[in-house]
Formats: sequence, C-alpha cells, structure tokens
Amino acid sequence: MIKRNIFVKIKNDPVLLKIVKFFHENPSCIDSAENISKWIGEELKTVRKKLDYLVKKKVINKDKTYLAEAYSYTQDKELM
Amino acid sequence: MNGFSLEKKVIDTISGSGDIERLKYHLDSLTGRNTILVLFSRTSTQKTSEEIKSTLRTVLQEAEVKAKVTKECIQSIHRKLKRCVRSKKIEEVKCSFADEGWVFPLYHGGLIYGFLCVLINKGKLNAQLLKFVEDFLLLSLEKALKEIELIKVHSNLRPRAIALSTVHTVHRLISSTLNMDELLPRLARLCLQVTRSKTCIIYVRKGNKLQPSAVVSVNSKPRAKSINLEKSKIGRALDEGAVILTPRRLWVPLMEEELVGVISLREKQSGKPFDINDREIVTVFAEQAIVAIKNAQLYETQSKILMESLKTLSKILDVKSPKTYTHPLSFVDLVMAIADEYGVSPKEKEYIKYATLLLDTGKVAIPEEILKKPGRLTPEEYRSIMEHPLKSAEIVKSIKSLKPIVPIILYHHERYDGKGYPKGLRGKKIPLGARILCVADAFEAMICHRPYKKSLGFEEAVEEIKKQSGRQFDPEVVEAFLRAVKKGKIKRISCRMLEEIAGK
Repeated sequence: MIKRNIFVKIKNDPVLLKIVKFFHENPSCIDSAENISKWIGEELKTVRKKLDYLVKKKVINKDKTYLAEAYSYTQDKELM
Repeated sequence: MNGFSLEKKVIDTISGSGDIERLKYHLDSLTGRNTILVLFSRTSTQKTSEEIKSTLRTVLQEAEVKAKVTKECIQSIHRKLKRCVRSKKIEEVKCSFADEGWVFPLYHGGLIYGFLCVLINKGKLNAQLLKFVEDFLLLSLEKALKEIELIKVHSNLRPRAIALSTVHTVHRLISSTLNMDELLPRLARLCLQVTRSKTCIIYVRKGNKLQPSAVVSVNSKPRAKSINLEKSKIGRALDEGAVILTPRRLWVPLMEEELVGVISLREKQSGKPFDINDREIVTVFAEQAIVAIKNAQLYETQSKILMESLKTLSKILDVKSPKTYTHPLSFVDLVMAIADEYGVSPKEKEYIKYATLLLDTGKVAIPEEILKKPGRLTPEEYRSIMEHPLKSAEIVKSIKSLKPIVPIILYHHERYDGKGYPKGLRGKKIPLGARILCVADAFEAMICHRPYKKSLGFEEAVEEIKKQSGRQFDPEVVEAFLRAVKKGKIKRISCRMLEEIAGK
C-alpha cells in the first residue's frame, strides 16, 4: 500500500515533481543524476538528494557499480 | 502536423509573442491615432460572418473602443479575407467606424497562415506605413515559424537524446559489472526497463542448449525452459544469428564468433506490439552485453588462475612450516561462512579469501628452530612469531593486485579491545576482513590439537568465542559466527578441518 503522503510531498516539492514528471514522460530512461539534472534543468546537488529520497520511497530504482550509478522509473503500476 | 494545425500554431505563436501589441504601439505613435489590429486565422475565410463579428467585437472591447460593428463592415472584411487568399496582397476594407482599413495576409513560402486587419479612424496609412506593417508582419511570421520549427526539432531530438544517454548509461553499468551472477540479472532488468516489457529472460549457451540464466518479470515469476539449438525452430534461427520479432516476443541473439546467449523479451506493459525501435535498442544492448559477458568470463578465469596460484604458493609455504603452524584448506570455508553471514560484499569476500590463503606467508622468515620447537617459546621467540603479520604483509605488498589484502593480513592478530598486535588497533579501526579472520583463526586454534595445547570440543570453543565477544572479537562478527553455527555450517566445516589435520 502506497502512503498518500509521498504524493503530497511530491506535489509540494517542485524538484521532486519535475523528476517524477520527467520519468513519467520518459519511462524507459535510465540515467545518471548528472544527466537527469540537465534534463530537468535543476542543480545537481539538489537533484541527487531528491533522487535518493525517491529511491528510498521506491518511486525510482537505483543501479550502482564502481563505474556508474543510474536511476530509472519504477515498474510498479500502482505507483505509476 | 497538418496544414490547419500549423496555421493555428503560427497564429497562436504570433499572438502570444506580443508582436501585435508592439506593432499597435508603433502605429499609434506614428499616426497619433488609436489603431485597431485584429488577427484572423487562415480558417477565418471559411467562418461565418457571425464568427468574424464576434472576433471583431472582442478586440474592440479589449481596446475599449465604443463603436457599432455594422453588417457591411463584417461583410467587407469577410470578402477581403477571401480575396486576400487569391491575391496574396494587401486588400482595403470599408468599415463604418474606421476611416481606413486594410487586410494584410500573413504570407510566407507560398502559404497563407492568417491575416491581420488594421483599422484606423481619422488617420491615414500612407505607402510607407503600409510597407512598414507588411515588413513587420513578415518578420513576425518568420520568427513564429522558426520558433515552431525549433519546438518541433526539440520535441523530436529530446527523446532521442534521452534514449542515447540511456544506452550510454546502460553500457557503463554493464561494462563495469565483472561478476556473471550480477551481470545477467542486471542486464535483464535494464532490458525490461528500457523496453517496458513484462518479462526478460537471458539465456546462456551451454553446449547445444540455451539455458535460462536470469529471469526478470514485473508480474509473477514466469516459467523459462531451456531451448535446444538443433531441435527447435527458434533455436536454429537464433544459432544463425537471426533476430526474431513478433508482436508479443522479441529474441535477440548474443553473437560473437558463435552464439553465446540470447536476450528474450515477452509482451510490452502497454499491450502494444514490439516494434523496430525495440529491436534496434535491444540489438545495441546485445552488442554491449556480449563484450560485458566476455569481460566477466575473462575476469572469472583470471580470478580462478590467481586463486589457484595463491593456493599453490600457500602449499609451497606450508612445506617449510611444520603442520602446527599451517591452516587446513577448509579454513578458507570457515572464514567464508562467517563472511557470508556477516553480509560481506562479493568483492571484499574475494579479498578476504586471498588474505586467508596468504595469512601466514611471513612465517617463512621465522627461523625453523622456533617454528619446530616442541615446548614453550621464550619471550624473544614469541616476539619473533608476533612479527609474522608484518612480514606476511611485506611479502604480499610487492604484488600490486593484492594490495587491498595487505591490511587484512597485517591486522588479523589485532583484538577488538585494542590489546592485540602489531599496532594495538581497536574496534572498527581494525579492517573488517581482519576482524573476521581473527574469530576464524582463534576458533580453528581452539578445536585443532596443538603439541603445546590441548584442543577444546566444538561446544566449548563456541562458548569461548561468545565469551570473548567485545573483548578479543568484534561482537557483530561473533553474531555472524553464531548464526553460521546455528545453521550447522561451522560444525560441518570443523569436521572437515579435523579430518584434514588427521590426514596430514
């Protein structure tokens, strides 16, 4: 069961909303925090923080290797 | 984009750009009168007089002009709009509330996108002003067309740029995964994500069969059977390097000189059929995956060679040391069992394994008479024994690829309470590998018989480890050890170790 307050928080946070909107429009995207910050036109430091929050809430996934880290949209239909 | 929607976009862009307001400002300044500008779309020629009347009224209201819009005025504008389409030139209109009126076509490249009607009361638009309006409108139209083109290019390029960036990121992710057990599920997950499919299965070739090695699905765990490359039709096609694309399935072979594996995708989450774009993107992934798989296989082979070399080296060193100072081969299993329970990462586990094999390398530097002395050691002899982690680290340090294991070897005799040697490190300052080795080393020493010390029973040795938790040993490592004991792992390894020692 998805907690309603995640949606409220996303709705009230412009950067979170931009990130979720970006992934919703590009559900196939798998990209680094640097590139996502460029796609949505926000500062990298903030974007990284928000991305990690969304990973924690399982709205997006994170893949990490020693060379790269990448974020992608959830496959959970309920969340999408 | 059809003709009408482009025309509408042009009119919307011009009216949203503020150009008409700017033109009005210039005309008002130049004529000293209040000009009325009405922008009509190309489709206005097909509209009824009522619709034109309504547009005109709105503009007049906005401009706060109190004037009666007569039927003749509307008909004149409507007629001139239609004539403008044919003539593509400025047409004069007659309107009751304006002395002069003109309809300017928004004409560019053989197309009319709309019209601008300029109405002026008690004023004149001379030839120069008419030219000015004409040029202004042309510039505004060109600007609007460029803007629309830019938006079109942007909306076409952006998804492609994002897709390209995704391909690049996937390449970085899979090329930096050297462990096959991680690589294949990761590859399956990434393919599933990018194609938004319901299921992705990565098959790896084993002989003349394709075995499912990684299965990822958004729903339930699907069944995946192996495919015979000779007997099945799909198998034969894939073996020849053919990509199989059907509305609900996509098979892309992983080919090098021969078939290495297959990426198989089932059903799109959207319910749409797989298309050529999916085929292209998965083919790119397949090309990247084959390099990554080959790298991982090469790395696996290299690791095996390194492991075998270390085992051989360890055996050579054991020949010099008496058996009382060497570990049985199962000691590695004991260390790995604790590391597993602790949740050590695969890479670190690998380093701990190497360190376990080279733990006592430094004992080659200890005089043989000390190592073989049957009775108690003198303080000086004991000091010499205590130096072996330093000597082991010194030897291992010279091998560049083994540098990460040096601290594990150097500090494996440190105690959690700081009373160990060689540096007297305390708590978490001792590397994790060394803390794990410390527990394993002590446990092995307790259960194995030594000429100078009687062995303890299994239960007693476990109790002793428990007692030393937080003193000699890291409590978290002890917990991991106890979990392994509970699962029966330690008992089984202990039996093997005792058998090995008895058979030495």
